[in-house]
Amino acid sequence: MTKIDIISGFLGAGKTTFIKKLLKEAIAGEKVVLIENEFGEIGIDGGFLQDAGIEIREMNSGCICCSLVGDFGKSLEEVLKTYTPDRVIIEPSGVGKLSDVMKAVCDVAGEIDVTLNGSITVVDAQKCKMYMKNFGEFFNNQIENAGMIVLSRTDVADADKVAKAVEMIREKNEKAVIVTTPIDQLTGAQLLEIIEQPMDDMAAELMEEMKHHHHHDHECTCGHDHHEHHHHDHDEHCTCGCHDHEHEHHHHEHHHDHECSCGHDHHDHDHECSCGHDHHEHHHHDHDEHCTCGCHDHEHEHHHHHEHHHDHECNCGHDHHEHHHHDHDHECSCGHDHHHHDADEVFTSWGLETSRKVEREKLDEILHDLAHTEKYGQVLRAKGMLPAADGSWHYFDLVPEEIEIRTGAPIYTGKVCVIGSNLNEDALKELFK
Amino acid sequence: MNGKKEKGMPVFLINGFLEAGKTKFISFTLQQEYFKADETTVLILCEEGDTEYDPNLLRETKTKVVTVDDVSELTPEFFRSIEAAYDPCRVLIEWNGIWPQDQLILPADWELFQQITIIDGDSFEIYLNNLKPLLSLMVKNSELIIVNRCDEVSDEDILRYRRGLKALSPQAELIFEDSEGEIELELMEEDLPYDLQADVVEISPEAYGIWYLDALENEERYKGKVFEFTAMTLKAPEFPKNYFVPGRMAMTCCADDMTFLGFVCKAREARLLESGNWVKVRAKMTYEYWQEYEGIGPVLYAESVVPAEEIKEVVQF
Repeated sequence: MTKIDIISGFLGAGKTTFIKKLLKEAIAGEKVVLIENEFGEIGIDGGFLQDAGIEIREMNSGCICCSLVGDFGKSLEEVLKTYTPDRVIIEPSGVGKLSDVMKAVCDVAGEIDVTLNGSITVVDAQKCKMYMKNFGEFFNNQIENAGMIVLSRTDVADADKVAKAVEMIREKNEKAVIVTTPIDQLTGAQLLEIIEQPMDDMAAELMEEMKHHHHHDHECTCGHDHHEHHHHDHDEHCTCGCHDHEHEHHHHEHHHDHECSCGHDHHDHDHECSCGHDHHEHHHHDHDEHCTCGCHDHEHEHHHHHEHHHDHECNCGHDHHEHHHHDHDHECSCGHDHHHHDADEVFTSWGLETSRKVEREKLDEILHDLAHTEKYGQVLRAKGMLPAADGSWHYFDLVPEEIEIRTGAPIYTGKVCVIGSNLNEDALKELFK
Repeated sequence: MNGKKEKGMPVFLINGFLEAGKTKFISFTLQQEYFKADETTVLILCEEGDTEYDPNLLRETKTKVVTVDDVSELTPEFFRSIEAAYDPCRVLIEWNGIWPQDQLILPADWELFQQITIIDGDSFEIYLNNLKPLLSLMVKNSELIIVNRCDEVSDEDILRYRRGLKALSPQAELIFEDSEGEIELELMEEDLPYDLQADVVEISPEAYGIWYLDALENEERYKGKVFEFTAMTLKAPEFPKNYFVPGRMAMTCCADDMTFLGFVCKAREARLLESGNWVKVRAKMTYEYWQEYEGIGPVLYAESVVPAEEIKEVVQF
């Protein structure tokens, strides 16, 4: 199986720089053929390519009047048959439509064992608006069809201009991952990961987390034992990968409808639950230790701060949903407003992608406002990674009245996700501007 | 009234790729004394770059701006509506470099008065390499090509760009500029890939294109000199029997667009030649009127024409 990546973008956008980075840092050792339909500004150093065993094919002298598609398909087929590479990187003409190249690849894919892996478009952040306005069709086509859009020259472009570019791109492509961090600050592996799977689900993950964990991991004085909860015994042989869904379901049906006056046994529920799990005992996770379905793994990542609640050791890689919410209707002395945590209340999430740099002090201020006031709505959870002026990154987590800011590695773009109710999105947008 | 009906609406077309400096050029031109007009000027903007027109300048020069977002908007009705709305004495068009120039079809009673191409020397290479067909259409009918921002461009590259542009647009006057103004090219022309002082100047297959273009432009340099080169013969029925054209196929734009480049040559051997023969020609260059040139141009007088090996490569610029 040969992976095919298409790197499109207008002349001078920075495609060659991007390709070089990939070749050097991410896919060194792979057998790669590079098909170029354009003469770049910076030639890729021939010596390096030779040492790395990379084949280069040039097509049509970059001439747009000679139709791409027919010749291109033939040429690609020939390359695949001659070299049987692990990967083919195509740099099409800067004024070509990405969808045409994608189609040509798909046509070949019918006959040979190849997969269209990544469709990447590199856009000069400083010129995005002007190009969109004046070039029209082919330029927009490159944006609309990309799974990943790399904004170049974001380090020299005006921050407002970058923000505007992101906004304009987002209007044309809702789904693409937009990389705003200068690629020299990212690792080849990070870029490759996005190429292979261009999706960003931070908001969805955080939302999921909220549904499962309506509770804080700080010390609470309400007198309830939060740590003593249900475990699920999954079907030992289950490979369905739908545990998340069932759990969610389970949690929702699991509210205590009795009056509670603390120190009670929350585990004797009277209601009927149809989720099929046994809620009435302190079950442990009887996951099959050998389960390889791999469908649960990533959940752990954002549950890490809850992990100390486990009362057993488990390495199965499943998300155990260890923390069931206490949706107590009684007054509680923990000081938190539990009403906002009811799972049946509608949470909304608000997300932001930004390349704007933020100072630590400023971020402290912003997060303090989010955590301690209701200016922006009832914020239940927020999470983000934002670039600092000095090139480092702030990673933050927020629950009501609690903020944590850490230093982390650069990621492809600054991200913020806020979950809560009655969120004032305009104010939030302004806040992070 | 104003005479334009008889002569047709004068159109000034300024083209060039995005950010080449078209707006700056037009703004400058509008301010000049020689370009002053008493009546309304319409400026059709097909592109919106980073530079904007100064509203004061537009007002002072009685210039009305009409913006066009897509080439398909340039219909006969569109041009009519401009006449109806503004009754201008002339029209300026700032063209969009990504729209093929041949898609501009003016009404029959509009006359393309002058066409000027503005090129950014700094990014020219990348456009020359990748968008030659668009560039070709753009400069083909230009009278003047201004290549600006050449501060960082080496003399060698300027000469190369010049050759490339000359090949695409032989009639155009070419001006190269840096921040200080026009660059004097004459001095730079000395490093030609052949020795003009030799008794017989040998033109290698690789130098043919340069020789061809330079001879077109610099009569004083070539007049009376003897050259030796290899070329393919072309005979046309309308030529006198003792004339033929030795020349080479050149890729001025791309493989689909080849041009035969050669000068008329008078030779005793001409009557024995057929089109498509390969010959080595030794000939003296003169400059004479020739109908096909529509004026004075290089005419060769052969000293010898002998069969030669074919040159497989086409001339490139």
